[in-house]
Amino acid sequence: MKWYTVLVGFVTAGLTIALVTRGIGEPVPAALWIPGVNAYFALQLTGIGVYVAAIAGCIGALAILYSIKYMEPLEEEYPPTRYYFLTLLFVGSMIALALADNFLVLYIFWEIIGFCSFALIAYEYHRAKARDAGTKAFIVTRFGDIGLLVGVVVLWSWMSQMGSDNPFSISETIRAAMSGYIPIGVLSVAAFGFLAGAVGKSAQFPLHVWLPDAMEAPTTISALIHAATLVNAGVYLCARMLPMFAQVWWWLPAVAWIGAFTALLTAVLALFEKDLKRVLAFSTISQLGYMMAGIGAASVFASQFHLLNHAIFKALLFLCAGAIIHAVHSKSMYQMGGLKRSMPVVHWTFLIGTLALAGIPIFNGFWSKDAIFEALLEHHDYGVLGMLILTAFVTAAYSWRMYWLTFQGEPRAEAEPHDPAWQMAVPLGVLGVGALISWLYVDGYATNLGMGLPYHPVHDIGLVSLVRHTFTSPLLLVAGVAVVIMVVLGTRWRALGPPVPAGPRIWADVVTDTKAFGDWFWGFWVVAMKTVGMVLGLFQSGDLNYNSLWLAIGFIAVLLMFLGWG
Amino acid sequence: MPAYAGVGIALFVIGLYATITRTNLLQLVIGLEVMARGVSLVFIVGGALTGSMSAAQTIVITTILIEAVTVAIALSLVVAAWHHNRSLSIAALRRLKG
Amino acid sequence: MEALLPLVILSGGALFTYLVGRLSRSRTLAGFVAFVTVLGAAHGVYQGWQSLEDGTAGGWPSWTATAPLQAYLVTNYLGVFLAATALLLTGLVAVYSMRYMHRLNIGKFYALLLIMTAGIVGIGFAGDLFTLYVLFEVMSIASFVLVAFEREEWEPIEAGVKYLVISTSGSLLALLGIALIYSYTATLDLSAIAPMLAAGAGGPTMIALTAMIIVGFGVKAAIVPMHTWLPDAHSAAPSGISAMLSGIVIEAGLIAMLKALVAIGAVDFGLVLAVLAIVTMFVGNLIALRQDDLKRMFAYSSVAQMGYILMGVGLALGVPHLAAFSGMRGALYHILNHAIAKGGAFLCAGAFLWLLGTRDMRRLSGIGRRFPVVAVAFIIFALALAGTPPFNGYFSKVLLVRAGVDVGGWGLFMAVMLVLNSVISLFYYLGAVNTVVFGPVPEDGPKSIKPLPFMIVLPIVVLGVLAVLLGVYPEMGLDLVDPAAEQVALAISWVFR
Repeated sequence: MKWYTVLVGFVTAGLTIALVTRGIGEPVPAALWIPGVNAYFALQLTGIGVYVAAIAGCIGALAILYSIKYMEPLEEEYPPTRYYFLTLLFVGSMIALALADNFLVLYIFWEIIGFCSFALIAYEYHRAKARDAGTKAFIVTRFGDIGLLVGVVVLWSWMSQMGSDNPFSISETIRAAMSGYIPIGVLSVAAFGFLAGAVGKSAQFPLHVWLPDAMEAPTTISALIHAATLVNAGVYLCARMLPMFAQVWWWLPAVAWIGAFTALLTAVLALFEKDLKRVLAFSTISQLGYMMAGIGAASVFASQFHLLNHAIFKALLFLCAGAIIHAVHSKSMYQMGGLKRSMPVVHWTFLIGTLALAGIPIFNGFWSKDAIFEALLEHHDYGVLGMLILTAFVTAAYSWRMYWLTFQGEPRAEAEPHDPAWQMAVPLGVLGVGALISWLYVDGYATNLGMGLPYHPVHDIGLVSLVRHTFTSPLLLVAGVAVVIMVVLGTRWRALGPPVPAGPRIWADVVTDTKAFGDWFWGFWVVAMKTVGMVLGLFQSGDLNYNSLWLAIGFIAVLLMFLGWG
Repeated sequence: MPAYAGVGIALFVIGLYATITRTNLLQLVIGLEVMARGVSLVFIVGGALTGSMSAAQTIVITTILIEAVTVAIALSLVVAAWHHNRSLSIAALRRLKG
Repeated sequence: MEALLPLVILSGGALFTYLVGRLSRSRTLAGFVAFVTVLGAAHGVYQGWQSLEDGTAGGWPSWTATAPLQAYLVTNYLGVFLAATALLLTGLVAVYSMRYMHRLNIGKFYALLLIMTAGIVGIGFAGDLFTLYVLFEVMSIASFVLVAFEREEWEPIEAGVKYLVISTSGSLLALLGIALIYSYTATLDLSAIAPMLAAGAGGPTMIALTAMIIVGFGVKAAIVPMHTWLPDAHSAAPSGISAMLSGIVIEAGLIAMLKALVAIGAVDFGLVLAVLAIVTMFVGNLIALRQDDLKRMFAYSSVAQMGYILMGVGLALGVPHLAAFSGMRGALYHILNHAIAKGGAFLCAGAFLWLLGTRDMRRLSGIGRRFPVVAVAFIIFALALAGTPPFNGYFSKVLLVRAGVDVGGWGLFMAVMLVLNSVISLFYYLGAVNTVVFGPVPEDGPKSIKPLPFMIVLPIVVLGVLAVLLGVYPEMGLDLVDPAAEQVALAISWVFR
């Protein structure tokens, strides 16, 4: 059964790659799905969507291969059928989401991936923490989905009132908006709703609280869903709708500032985290903030290029973390250390991922991060740019700290770590190579990106011009400073390791409180709702007289409302 | 004639008042009956006002029939409640709440 | 005649089922007779639908009303919709109860079940206000007895007493409104009242009438603050009856209210209904959050779901009449979805209750893992109720939000409140799933658990499959809902003109 799943995964990966090489811009026949509301089950092979689908397919296949060995210890307690079923369902839904040309289809698959995420976070259901984290993830993302649903329906309502015979169509809606058939007021409501949905799914401030807790999931799921695919859905959504919502004056700045603020906030939080997976979770949120800022600069290319590169190096980092946790039996970085010698394969791949994350030249993260900076510079978003440059320094610091605590220094683990089996090593190798060379593909990527999307502003950027442009730009200094930070930290690495807490004590306190505030904020709403429920429950006194009294009160209240509003 | 409709509505309100203030189950059932009589009276008045008395009579007789069934069931429930609680007070029927 | 046929079949079948149950004392046989009766009634309803499609539909006893009480029953799409939903649920509950109910008094149980269904079907087909009231009472009286069916326990008796007193007060209030209408118009025919009432009654009278109709029928429809009977009755009733009560009886109350409101021409009071709807959904959801009793939690969630449906009705009746069709469409589709999902959820809760003899979720913890089929269905129902695609609940919520957007302004606010509430409801639905299916098995729980009979699992599976099918292919439901929604929307716009 498991190898059958791997086969399905790799066939899917092959098919999605075939979409990239052959399919972009090809028309797809649509089927009338719900005649009553003129909804078609329609797909569109846009440049943006096909790459998101390909990422889901390829990383899905690698994660499934990796799971064969990784999930083995859990199989006795939890029969693995559910795991592979949900993983494949997720990959399929993600692909459908990326290719959908119908708002209703998009919304449905948007919710299905949310459900898969919930079910996989709570996969080890014997642990109450996992169950709670799954619930939290589902509810917080659905809180954002309120906006998405209302936004979708607002556009649908307008399109069908205009007499469109395909009112749910994404491409036709964008065309209508670009031709000025949709008033700005309607677009504003929809833009706000879509932004709320994207903020929930892509874990942006203030709905970022679910992603760190989602690390209760098996690490393969963290790599696949919570780093490489699901969390990109929000960025994808914003990028897809960019030309339509760019007409709303506040939308681009809002996206940019939300992204920049989230990036900085969570990068600082990552600096003080001791759980390896949670560091990666915070860094994922932070990197998603970069992508959002890229969209805020109206640059589809920069944000989507970073999305591609980030998916590769972050999946790599998570899978490495999985191998480490598998070997060390602990998630705390203070119980790792010195793994350089005992796990050489994981060490080298993890190092590549770390350097890519930190934005060190020639690793893939460097190029796309620089592209985002350039886009912001061109768009004159200097405030956002400054914030993100600051974030880049923090990123270099926390990723280097993470690397040192895990691989350098004295071994602190109680178990005997060793390199993983080939089923786990192969995906690491593939992704490691990917993190080294994926930027070489920029030429084809930039060419393909805008295909099938007539209104998206995508400039053709060749590889040579990218390299020349990047190395002659003053923004290269950012990477230089990052390198300096890492060298300095490397020489003084003892300051990072245990038992000395990272940074001055007061900083740690502030950050802990910030994190506590996030948890408290969530807890506050839960407690508040339960309290209100308890108070309301008191009115259900169980006394028959009171029940009759409520009937009379209800009658008087309705009467008063009529008299008041007529 | 409309004054009688006022009497009907007043009967209804008295019955409703009984269900709000009385604690004895039998008194509650009587309260329901008083409400039903008030409604019947309004129907009679309506029939007289509009000159279609035969239809009003049909309606009232049917209403009485329905009320008879309701009261029969109500009384059987009261008896069952008596068997469970040895009390006819609604104070003994307050366990389901919240 | 088509309108009368299902009622005749159901009432005759009730009598026959009672005799069969009394004489044979076989649950299977009585249940089978009841099921066949439901099939026969469904055939009658189908014929009514056919006649509507052919344009040959009529009323009973005559097509047009001349005297106050002449067209007792009229075949119409709204009635077909309500009857189809009710018969679907009744048939499945009949199968379910073959094993769930005790052998004692089984004939009486099935007879009352069929009579209750006859009342619901009649509400849909009723052609004048008094017939509407009589059939409403038929439904109510049958449900009083069914709620208090297990007389040996204290709980059903207490719930039954409360239900009876409140429900009867409510229907008498509605009847008072009908009596006043009668004294102004001298007719009760649904299609003839509005113009005569507009001529006869002034503003304040009209307002009082409308309030009486809303509150009177609103008791049955569980509109806050008239909902107090619902959590008691739904949790104490036998589980099949809980499914019926939640799935269709309270909706029938709402449909009765809707028919009366449209008939008297009170179609511009949507804002009041929408405000009541918001209060209803918040109260239902927030109280449901803190329930430990599985069935009581679902009962409160029914209050909240009635809020969603009432929201659709309120938007349909709102001024200006922009959402008459879309609001009705959303409300009716949600009735169908809710009947399937909540009916299924109560049947699942009943299966667990049947196994362990408790409704306390802490005691039920982990029971779902022993019965994977029921557990999967339970998860489907919970997610469908919370409006998660691809299960059926989401589509009706999309339609309801559409109605809010169509109204615009306050409608948009109401739509956001509705979706917000469905997120709040996720808390307790997921909580129930996490406990009942994935929770730890209590240490002192029973070591061995009897297997679930096939007849209990079958209706749950059927409803689960329907929940998925309607979610994946919503057009199936639209075929049933759209004509009914069009009919009501037409009536609304006609009155308004």
